[in-house]
Amino acid sequence: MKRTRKASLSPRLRSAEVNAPSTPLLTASELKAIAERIMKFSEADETEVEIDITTDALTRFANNIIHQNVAERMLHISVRAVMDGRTARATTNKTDEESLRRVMAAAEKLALHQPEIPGLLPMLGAQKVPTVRRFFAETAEASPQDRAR
Amino acid sequence: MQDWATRAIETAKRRGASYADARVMDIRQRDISTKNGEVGTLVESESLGIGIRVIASGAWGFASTDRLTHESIDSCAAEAVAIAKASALAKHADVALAPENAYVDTWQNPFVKDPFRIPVERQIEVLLAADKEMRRVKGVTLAEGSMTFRKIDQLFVSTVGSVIHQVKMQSGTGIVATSFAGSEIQKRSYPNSFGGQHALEGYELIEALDLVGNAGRTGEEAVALHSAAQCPEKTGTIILGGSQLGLQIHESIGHPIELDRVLGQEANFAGMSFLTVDKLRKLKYGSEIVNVVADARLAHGPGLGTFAYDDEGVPAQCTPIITNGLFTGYLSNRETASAIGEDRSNGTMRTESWNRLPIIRMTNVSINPGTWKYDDLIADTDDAILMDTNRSWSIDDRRYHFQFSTEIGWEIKGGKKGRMIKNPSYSGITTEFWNSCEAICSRADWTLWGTPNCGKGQPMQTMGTGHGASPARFRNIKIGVAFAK
Repeated sequence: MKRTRKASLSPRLRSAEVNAPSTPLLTASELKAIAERIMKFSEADETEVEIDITTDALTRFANNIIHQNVAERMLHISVRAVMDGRTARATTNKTDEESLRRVMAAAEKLALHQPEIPGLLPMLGAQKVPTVRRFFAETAEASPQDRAR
Repeated sequence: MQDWATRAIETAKRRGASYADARVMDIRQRDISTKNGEVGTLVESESLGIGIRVIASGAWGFASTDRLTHESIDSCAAEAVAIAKASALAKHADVALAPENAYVDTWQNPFVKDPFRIPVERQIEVLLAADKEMRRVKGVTLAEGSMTFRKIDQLFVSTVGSVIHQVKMQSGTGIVATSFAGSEIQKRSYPNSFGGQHALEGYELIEALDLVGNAGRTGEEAVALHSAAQCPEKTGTIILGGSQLGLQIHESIGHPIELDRVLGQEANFAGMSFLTVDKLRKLKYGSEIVNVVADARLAHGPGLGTFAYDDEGVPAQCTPIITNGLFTGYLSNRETASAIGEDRSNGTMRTESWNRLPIIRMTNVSINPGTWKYDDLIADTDDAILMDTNRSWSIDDRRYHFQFSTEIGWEIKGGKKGRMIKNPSYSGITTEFWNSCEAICSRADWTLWGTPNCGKGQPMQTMGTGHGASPARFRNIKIGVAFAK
């Protein structure tokens, strides 16, 4: 029997809508839509979907030159299932239907092989999460040229 | 995959790149661990994306994304070019690459059993059965086991004209018995410490290692170490087991021959190197029987450093690193080979994942087998300590002074293996140590060990490396300092 279902979005995502890197991050509503698509495959007692999307850039100097200068954009989908008091997690960064079905099924299957956790508390359920605004557009918009200078 | 990668390099060229390569990597991993009769880690993960590396305005740029739409790939390629142009703001000279041919090829390492098709419950059963056997031994207080499987499906495309598809299947497993008694902790691992044995093989590797059949002995040795004699502090002869010699190679040969460390481009984790370029083909690194190669070819074995092409499209090669004791080669890429006047990269650029820049990495850095039969080596040794299975390592940031300890030792007296020794350790200076090597066992005792956890770079990358080694004897070694009281 399903008791609680929860989709949690990491705080970093809430700033995604105002971020404008060269490869756009997904909006919070797009990420929520991914979570809901995973949820529909769930047969677990409880399911938690956590989605994190990040962009990172790093400039390294050696011998007084920039020898490594990199950037990445990465989606991380982590699915935790609870089955009969047992819990496990599977992760992916693929958002096609088959991959979302597979990550949900993997979490459920792995949970069945975990030891039962006596007194495992239920997931929190729907929460009203305060908006955290720690996003600085000027930092996010810093170009490779800005970093190099 | 090819559509994405080709689009990436075409976009990069249009944006002004003079060179571009793109790697699409689809990675699947399963990690299982058990501890004292219960499942611990049990995780499956998948990751797919593209990394685009370019030269524009004479400098490097790299960008990666896992959003594989045409628009996103175009944007990522444009970002890589913009980054390269920014890098050019602080350059001394244009990047120069050693020439390389174009290759169109497909390669997959051979394996018998796909570990991802073996039910996870069967894999857990094996670990729990080994766990039970270890805990059956009175005095074993902690039993641990692990399995890791990784499949990498990757496509490399470059403006040189290469289109290279490679599929690699890796498997690994190990068990550890730990015994706490009084204020002392002793442990034994099988088949090796720090994760066991890993190779470019399928589930057949796990079956061949017979964890359950070796678990009881592993537990018994962990407990027996408590009552073993303390390793003496002295200067004398040691015989290193193959897995310990493999790690010795990794730390005191593998890292210092990484040409990016030599040239001051990398210092993370393992520091830089004492092997300045003036030492190439001049330094007497070891004794005349020491022959070390960096061999990424499948012919060398199914090591974690085995592939058909590296991650900048250079074919796998066998490079002589130490030849009859003489230092003869570095690990290079196209850029560093050019920088020291070599006419070709020896193909050691490797990346952990699609979102990481390829960097110089060990392939299979192995010592060639010698001529000794193991039993003859023991019989020929009058007084020594045989040390096996790494417990700790410490080496300075030029890879010159080191100290290692192993899980277990045995006294060798009058050509016979005698009592067990606990807390064995040895220390030395890299070149003095390798020059004191005077006997190496033959191919019959040679194993291509897998080191799955070598960290390097920033952002940090974890890479698997291979190290073939057989037991070897070294004279005049400082012994027992690490645990001297």
